[in-house]
Amino acid sequence: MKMNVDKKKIGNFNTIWIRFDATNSDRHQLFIKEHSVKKQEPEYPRGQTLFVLNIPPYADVDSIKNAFTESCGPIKSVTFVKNANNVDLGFKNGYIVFARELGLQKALSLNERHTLTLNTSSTPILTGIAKWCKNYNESIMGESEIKKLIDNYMNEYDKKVEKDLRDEKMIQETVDNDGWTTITGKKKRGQYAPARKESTIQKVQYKEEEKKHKKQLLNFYTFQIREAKKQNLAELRKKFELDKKKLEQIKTVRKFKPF
Amino acid sequence: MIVDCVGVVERDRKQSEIMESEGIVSSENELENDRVPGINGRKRKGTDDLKKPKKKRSKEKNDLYKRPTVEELNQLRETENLFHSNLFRLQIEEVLSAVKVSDKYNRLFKLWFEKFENHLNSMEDNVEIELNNDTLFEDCDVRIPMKKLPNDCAGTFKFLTPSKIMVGGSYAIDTVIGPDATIDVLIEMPRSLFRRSDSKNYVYMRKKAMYLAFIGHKLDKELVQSMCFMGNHSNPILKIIPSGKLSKRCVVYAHLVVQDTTFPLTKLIPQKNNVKSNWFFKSNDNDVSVTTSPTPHYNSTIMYDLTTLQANVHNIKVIKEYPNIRDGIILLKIWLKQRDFSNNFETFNGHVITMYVLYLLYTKKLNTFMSSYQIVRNTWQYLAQVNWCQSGISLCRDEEIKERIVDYHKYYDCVFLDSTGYHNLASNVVGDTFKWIANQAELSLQCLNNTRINGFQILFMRKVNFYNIFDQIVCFYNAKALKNIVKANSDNTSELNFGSNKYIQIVKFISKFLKEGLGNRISLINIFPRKLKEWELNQEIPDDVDRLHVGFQLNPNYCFSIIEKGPGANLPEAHAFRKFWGDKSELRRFKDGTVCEAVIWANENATSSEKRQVPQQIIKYLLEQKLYLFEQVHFFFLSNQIEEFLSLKKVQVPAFQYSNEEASLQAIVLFDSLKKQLSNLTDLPLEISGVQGCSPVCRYTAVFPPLARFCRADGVNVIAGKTHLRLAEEPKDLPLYHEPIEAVLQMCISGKWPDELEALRMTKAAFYLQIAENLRKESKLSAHGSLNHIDVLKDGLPFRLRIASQKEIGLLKQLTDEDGVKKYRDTEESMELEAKLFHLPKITGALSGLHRQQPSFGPACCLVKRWLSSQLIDESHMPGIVVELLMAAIYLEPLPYESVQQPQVAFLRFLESFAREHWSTDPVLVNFNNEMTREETVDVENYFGTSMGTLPPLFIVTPYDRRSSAWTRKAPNTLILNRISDLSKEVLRIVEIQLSKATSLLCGSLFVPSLAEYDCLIRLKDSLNPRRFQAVDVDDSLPTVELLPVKNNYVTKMPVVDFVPVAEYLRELRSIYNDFALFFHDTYGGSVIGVLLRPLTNQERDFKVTNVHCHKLNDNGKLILNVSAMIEDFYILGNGLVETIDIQSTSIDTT
Repeated sequence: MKMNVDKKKIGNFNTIWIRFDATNSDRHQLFIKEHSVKKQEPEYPRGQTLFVLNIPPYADVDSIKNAFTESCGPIKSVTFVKNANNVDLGFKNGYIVFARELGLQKALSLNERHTLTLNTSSTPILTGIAKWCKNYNESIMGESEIKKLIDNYMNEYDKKVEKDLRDEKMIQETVDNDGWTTITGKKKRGQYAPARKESTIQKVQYKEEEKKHKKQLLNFYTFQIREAKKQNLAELRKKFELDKKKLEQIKTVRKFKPF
Repeated sequence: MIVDCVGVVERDRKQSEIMESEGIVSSENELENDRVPGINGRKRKGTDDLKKPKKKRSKEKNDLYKRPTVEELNQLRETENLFHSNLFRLQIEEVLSAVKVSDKYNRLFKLWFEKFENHLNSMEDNVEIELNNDTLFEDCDVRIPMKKLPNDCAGTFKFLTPSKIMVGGSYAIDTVIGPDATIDVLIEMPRSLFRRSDSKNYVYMRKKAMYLAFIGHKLDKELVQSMCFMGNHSNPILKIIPSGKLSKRCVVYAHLVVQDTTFPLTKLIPQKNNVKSNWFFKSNDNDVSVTTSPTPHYNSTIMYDLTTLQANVHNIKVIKEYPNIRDGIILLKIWLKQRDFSNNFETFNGHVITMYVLYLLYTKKLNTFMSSYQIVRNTWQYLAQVNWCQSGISLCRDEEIKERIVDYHKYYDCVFLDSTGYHNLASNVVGDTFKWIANQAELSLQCLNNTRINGFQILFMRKVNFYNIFDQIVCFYNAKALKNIVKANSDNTSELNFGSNKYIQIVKFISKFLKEGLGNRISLINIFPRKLKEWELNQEIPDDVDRLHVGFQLNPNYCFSIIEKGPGANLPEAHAFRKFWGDKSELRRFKDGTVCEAVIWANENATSSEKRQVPQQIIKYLLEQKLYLFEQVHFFFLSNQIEEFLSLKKVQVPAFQYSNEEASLQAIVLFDSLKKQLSNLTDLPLEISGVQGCSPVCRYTAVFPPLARFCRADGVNVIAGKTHLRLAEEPKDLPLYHEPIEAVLQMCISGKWPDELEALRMTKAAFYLQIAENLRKESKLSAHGSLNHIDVLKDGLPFRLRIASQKEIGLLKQLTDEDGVKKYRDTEESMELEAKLFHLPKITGALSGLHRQQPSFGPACCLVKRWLSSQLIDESHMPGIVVELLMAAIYLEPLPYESVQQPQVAFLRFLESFAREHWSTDPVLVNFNNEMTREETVDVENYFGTSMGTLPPLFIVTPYDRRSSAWTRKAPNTLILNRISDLSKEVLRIVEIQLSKATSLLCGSLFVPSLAEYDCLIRLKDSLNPRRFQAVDVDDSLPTVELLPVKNNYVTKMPVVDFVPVAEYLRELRSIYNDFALFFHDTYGGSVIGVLLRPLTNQERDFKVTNVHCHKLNDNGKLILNVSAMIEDFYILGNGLVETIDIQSTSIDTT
């Protein structure tokens, strides 16, 4: 298949093919180009990094590394871009950093009919039953292992909490140049200062409103009674209008034909 | 004082605000200010002029505060007082206008009728015809619409022009329910046609039939598009479809009546005999008891013809005057028609209810000022109170009427005398039918009183299907056998009375017979009203008997009791009991020491589903033993056929007899004992304060509940590890599915949980380890803690426990804004976790409570889930909990039905509700314990109405979740809902067809999916499906698997739980290819995955970085989906599991 596609149209990407293993006849198309942007990240150096689109779901870092090493020379790192849901399933995009600039040049000059193979004897990929069984078995962890994990984490955490406390205390004790001390929401003389939470703020505001409301007299002046009557009628009308609207709504979805 | 000042200022400001918003006051205009009342007390004038120049927005507000007109006030007030609600009133108006016959057709009919009348009046003929002739004349092929009588009628018939022709029935009083109108035309035969003695021995009927045949024969073909006879042997009707445009909307029924003075009514009262037995049986046997035996049925047929015309004239006068009463009658007739009781002259119909409304009017129970709503409501109320079977009513107010009613009760089930005081309007209404109608009226009243629901739709707009009402239906399809039964079980007197009208006889006999046998197990029995027969003019009248559907409503207190306790052995009644039940009856000693006759229908440890069969068994036994009717030869049932799909095939369960409910119960018993063990644990840093189940089995809704069993490693596929059984690297055969029961632990409140999410989770994990250890030590259970849960194996059942901590949710929700204020906002993750750990246990509790109140709930949910899954709609398309909530809604608000005892009926009701596509118009209200009040539900409805676009397509409200519909946020989507609706319609159609045509109910096809519409099918290896025995069709050749019994004194290793390769496969497929395709699979043992490509995937797309996934370039430099590679991927991802992939669609190009 010869393609005479204007490269500009496809965003200066080159294409090569990738397949699962040597027995597969159907291939996915990879879209590659040199990674060069204005703010080049230090981990993806200019001139050495290849940007790859449409990496098939079963490919892992090792197999990609292996496949490109074979045709373009040694590779420093392979990174997949995390997708929105943070799931590592699905088609991926990735960055391949070659050890030498030559590697990138080689990759870019690959023929568009060139095919990479992922599952080789050096980098076997597990899929299907074998993979799921392995995952299942790995999900069973020994209790002692877990214990160790927890202990490690909690020790770190305790240290961090302790440090935070110390810092806070420090802040409270230091007086700044103007003579101010920072006060935190911690316990003071057996009382909690109100927390800076949205709900607390709302509660305080609501209480204020209530207080205001209580001060008003209702049903006191004649005009208030008249207003109430008027309001009542308006309520009735409003309800009627609302029901009419509702009926219209019902009518749009349902014919009033009983049979 | 200061306070008061504030008040005044406040008030002034408010007042001016109001006035401004009213558009009365504009602050710049002092002059207009003067006109406002309340400021200077002058009357308001010319407000209308003021309104005009205002802006549009304020005008809208204006409308609310403008001065009311008297009419408007009246209307608003009227609605408050006279109608249920605004909405109800508006809906009534809508429906009334929808069923109105359009003026165009009224005009057309008027023209047609004039011609028709003239035509009939000009008919004459001088030929005398023998009454015994089968056809009118030698060369005429119109057959007399009457069965051949056993003996000849003497005399001749000569046609005479009708003495009167008028439009009668509902059309005359404008209560016809259109838009397709059936118009009754009454043709009065002149008195001179008959001799005085013609009322005897069928001469009258013969002459009437000939008269009708004559009209049919002579009728101008220009007036008529087509014609046929209708009705039955003793009361034939001519059905005319008029010619021209009228035929589109109108059907004319020509009834023959006779001048009321032709025969004296006193000769036709029920106790009189009008068919002589020696004439009828051609015998000379003068047995007095037979010769004088009364013929009430025969008499009432003639009486009807005598009185109809007069009654009609009278009715027209009354009803035409009062449109409200007319509207009320129309509504009642719609209500009846939705329940299939109309358009039928043999039972409770529109005519009877019209007369009943008139009766209520005459007896001052209704008055002419009532609104149509009140008419309907009161009619229902009285209908629910009265019993025509015991105390009949009468339109006539003669003095001796009371005695006459008592007399009539001896001959008829129901008595409702007309204005002459002689004719019984309800002569053909069977007692049970009346009771059923009364019951429906009561339910409808309940519906009106229940302010939580939109009653109007339920009462008037929904078809109430026969098969959705009754728990149990028997369909007799062998008419010949039925006729024989009547012959064998009736004597000469009733044959004399009914002649060839066998139908009513059968109905009465069968219902009486079955009622006796079922006793208090049933609360109501009803026979589905049949359609009137129709036949061509030149055909012989068809047999009167036809398919018969008998429906039973079961009484929940007694219906499934396995024993029928009879009288004491030494009592005289015992003999009768023995005689009725035959061999089945045996002597039994009961717990209270009495020795009684009894019939046992099932053994003591029968499963619930077996117990549900008891009524069916009884009916079957009675029909077989006493009437020699056999299932599949003469009749079939509609009761519990589809429960078969919940049975477990090819698996032998130790210790108990498997049925869905028994297995659930077993699991729950084990769970309860585990709960006890958990709360008894000592030595924990925090005590466990509660344990709640989350798995479907805890609410009795697991289609295949987990079964306790001993699992062991076979060394090949399953390998024993230190604490767990593990899987081999590449197993060839997987053990049967073992599902853990999930539960949530609540710990005592503590302030010491860490303030960081990850740390909190680690602390939870530490708890898991601790609890697991304590369980091992104190309760001697095998338990294993892990990072996310504890696995416990209790007597062979795996449980999975998690700790619910409110703080975790809080931490997930927490965010801090730039001011340092903490805010709590729902995130995807927090909602999911909250649903799993907090909402689900709550709903599980509520649903299991519902199941305990109504034990058919659980199996009904299972049936729906099984059915959906068999149609390849699985959990990811339609979550099980959503199905359960929808079913709960049906159980909590069963109106217009009553609560249901048989799961299958609940299943059909579920389908019916889906077929209505109710989800598109209404929120689904699952009001547990009626916790939500009227205001709250209205609020929810309004919310639904205003924000429908942003809500999930199916919106479910529970008292615990009123706004978010947490369970339907992600699924089902509209596509799936539509699909379920279509499937439901199809199932209901099949059931309806089978009920009306087939000779048995075949449910198999309902559970077989159609695979043709999928683009490709992935076929899977059965041996790698741990749920293979749950499939709808399990291969018979497979060996039966025996589950190993649990060994108690043995610490077992944790078995392989919750491992289903297909599920893993589907998860991968769905997360990778969700943008391009949908995947369908039967969770319960399905061996096929249906793949449906999304509609737009076969289009070319422009090159964009976001578009390239799974695409390739074509020759034009555009992206197209790389379908062949995708299908290859299906193979690769399902390596070992996939057998083959069939490509069905032509749109998939594999090259």
